Amino acid sequence: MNIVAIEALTKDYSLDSTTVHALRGVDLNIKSGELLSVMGPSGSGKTTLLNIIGCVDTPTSGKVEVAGTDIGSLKDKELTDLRLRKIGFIFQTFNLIPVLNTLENVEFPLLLMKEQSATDIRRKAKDLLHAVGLGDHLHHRPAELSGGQRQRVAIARALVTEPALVLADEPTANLDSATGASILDLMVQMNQSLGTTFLFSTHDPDVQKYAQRIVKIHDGLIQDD
Amino acid sequence: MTLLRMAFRNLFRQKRRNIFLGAAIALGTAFLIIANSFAHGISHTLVNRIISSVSGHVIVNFAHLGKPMSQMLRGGKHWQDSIAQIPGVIKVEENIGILGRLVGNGKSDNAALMGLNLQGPLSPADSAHLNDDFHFVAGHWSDLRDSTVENPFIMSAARAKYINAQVGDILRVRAQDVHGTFVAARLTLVGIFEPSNLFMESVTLLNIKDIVQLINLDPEDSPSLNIVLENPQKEARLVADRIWDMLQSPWVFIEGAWQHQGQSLGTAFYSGYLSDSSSQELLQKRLVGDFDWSRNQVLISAPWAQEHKLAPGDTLFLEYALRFPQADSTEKLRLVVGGLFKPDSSLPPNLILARDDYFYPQLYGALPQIHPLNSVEISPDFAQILSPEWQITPRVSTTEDMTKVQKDISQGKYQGTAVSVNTMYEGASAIMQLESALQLITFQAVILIFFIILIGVINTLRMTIRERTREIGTMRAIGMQSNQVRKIFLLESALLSFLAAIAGVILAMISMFALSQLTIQAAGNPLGMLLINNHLVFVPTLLSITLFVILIVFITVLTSWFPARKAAQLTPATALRHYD
Repeated sequence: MNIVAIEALTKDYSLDSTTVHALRGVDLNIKSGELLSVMGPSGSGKTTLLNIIGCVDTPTSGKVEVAGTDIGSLKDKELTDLRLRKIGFIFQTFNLIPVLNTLENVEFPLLLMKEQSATDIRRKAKDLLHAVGLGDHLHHRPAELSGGQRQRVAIARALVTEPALVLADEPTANLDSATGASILDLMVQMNQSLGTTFLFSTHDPDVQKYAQRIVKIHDGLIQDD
Repeated sequence: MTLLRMAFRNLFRQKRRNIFLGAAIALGTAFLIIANSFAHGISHTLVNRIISSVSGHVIVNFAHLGKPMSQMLRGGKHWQDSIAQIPGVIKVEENIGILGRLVGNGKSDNAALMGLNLQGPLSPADSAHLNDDFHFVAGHWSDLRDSTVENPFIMSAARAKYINAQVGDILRVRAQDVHGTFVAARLTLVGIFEPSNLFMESVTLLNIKDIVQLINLDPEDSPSLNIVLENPQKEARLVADRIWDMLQSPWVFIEGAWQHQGQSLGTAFYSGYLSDSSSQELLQKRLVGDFDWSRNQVLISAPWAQEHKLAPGDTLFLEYALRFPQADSTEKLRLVVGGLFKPDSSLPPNLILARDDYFYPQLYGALPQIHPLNSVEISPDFAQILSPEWQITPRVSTTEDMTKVQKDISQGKYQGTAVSVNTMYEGASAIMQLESALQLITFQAVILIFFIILIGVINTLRMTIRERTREIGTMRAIGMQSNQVRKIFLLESALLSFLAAIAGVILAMISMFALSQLTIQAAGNPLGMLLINNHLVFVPTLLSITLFVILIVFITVLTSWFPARKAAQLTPATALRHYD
């Protein structure tokens, strides 16, 4: 089953007086449970593609279905809800909320969902943090954690809502190679144990070995799948 | 809860900026509360201390025979009890104040002589009040009760010094009594005080029973009244309206035995007609034959004249029984017939009318017994013509209108006793305007705070939002709705302003406490009336403080609304792309 189905996707940006064609007709299907890597140099359109799949940006043309929903017809509120329930995000710069501690950062998406009791939410967040190896850092603020630790928190936060799809935009770019490798190992481990679909972008060829499937993108077009 | 926690923690992220903004809001709040409490303090001082002790909350003024200085209502004593029964009235005090000339040792001075009510035992509160108002340098207010001393009185140190008088000295006073006659008396100085407020400096106080004697007030007459209320701000006008309704005057028909040339004419009624031009015009239409309006002659009803064959030029004698019998139980009057008139069916057919300026002195000179006819309904025409027992002036709501009525009285518009009912709000509006002026300062403080908040909050939020744009993007990407983003910023502003306002309240309390400890010497300075015992008075109220805190939080939240909405409207992709 396809968790993501994209047809003839284009995305243009207006930058001052010129128009940048970030995506120029992308077709892509991602199956449930895949661990897929989008590779390409800087400016090739990786982040734009991930943003559109993640429903944080809208296509200029083309059709995008995420978890069976055509996102072109959704309003902001519905898109936000879709992100909350179906998609997890891991950012290059970790993007944890600085005023919340490790545990609270992981609990945050579940609190937004308002579906589970505070006790259940806490237990679930703790379990996940133990699973990513941060059981001893539950009450640390992001500023007190190392880059690798922060990215583990981000992974736990992305997974806590049991999303259909986790998007990771250059998750290892701000980490040293050893830490980066451990983060990728963790993603692979989570993909295998939870069956969550992972889509990550990278420009580092060394990362390829972790992916089941590699999509190469160049100048807004898919060159190799 | 999570949003509140995040908002609270966010306050500590830009500590310096928030402390500056918070301090500005706190200072503004403190200023607001101090200004308001000071204004409240002024009205508290004026209403509860000065006005209620000098003039009362509601003032019933009588101008006997239309003379403003002759403050009495003949036979009006019983009204004091009726007024005291009105709910909300704490006490009804006789207001006896006359102007006189006090002759001291080698110097004389104009003096306002006022009566101090020391009849019966004083309540501890009243005694405390008196002790607060006067700080005696020599003697004591209780010496006014000393019956072995001739007309004891007390005065301020400044006045005593001016006329060279010391405790024990006997001074002479010349004043007009309630009938307008000059009287002289000997007064004994028994106390010299330092006044606690400016108003007390110029008054000379006597025991009320002595001053009643001095001005020849009969026991059944009432001087002007000061009425003290439980809740003046709420009830003054209502009580004044009730008293005004109560004091609507009855008609006055003097029933007596009439004689002409030694022959009895049986009983007939005597009353007055108003001398203003509209009443005269109405009466003119009812005349039979000619009448010279300018002469002190009476009009008699035509049927009665016909019955007894009376004509203009005849002299009549009237004898009637008195309302308050003394040695003579009847009064005899001599009246000359000047003309005839036709009464209508609402009036007795045997009626004699005299012009009011002729009639009222006779009436008040010897009040007749109350006749049932006094309260019958009279046709509208004659209701405009006939003289009531006293003349109540219209109720007014502004000082301008009150001044107009007072002007009417002093210009002689009223021939009978003019009765006015006013509240301190109309009467002391000049003083009350001071409170309004101070409230204006409070209002300006609100405006000032509004601008502090407007500029401070908008700037702070703009900076904050720019700094946190990526964070907003992250939260939006994770699944936070745009209205929740707006809410988090509004909560932050609300919390900051609430905490700052509370700090402002504490600051204001400390400042007011400190300011009220200062002793200010303001003798001879009109601003001294803002002080009580040389101290500033602040009266903060829980209600106004609560309202101010709510107002400040409200203004802040309102001001934050637009920057917060802007933050909420950022698309997640734009926000995530933002780099500082």
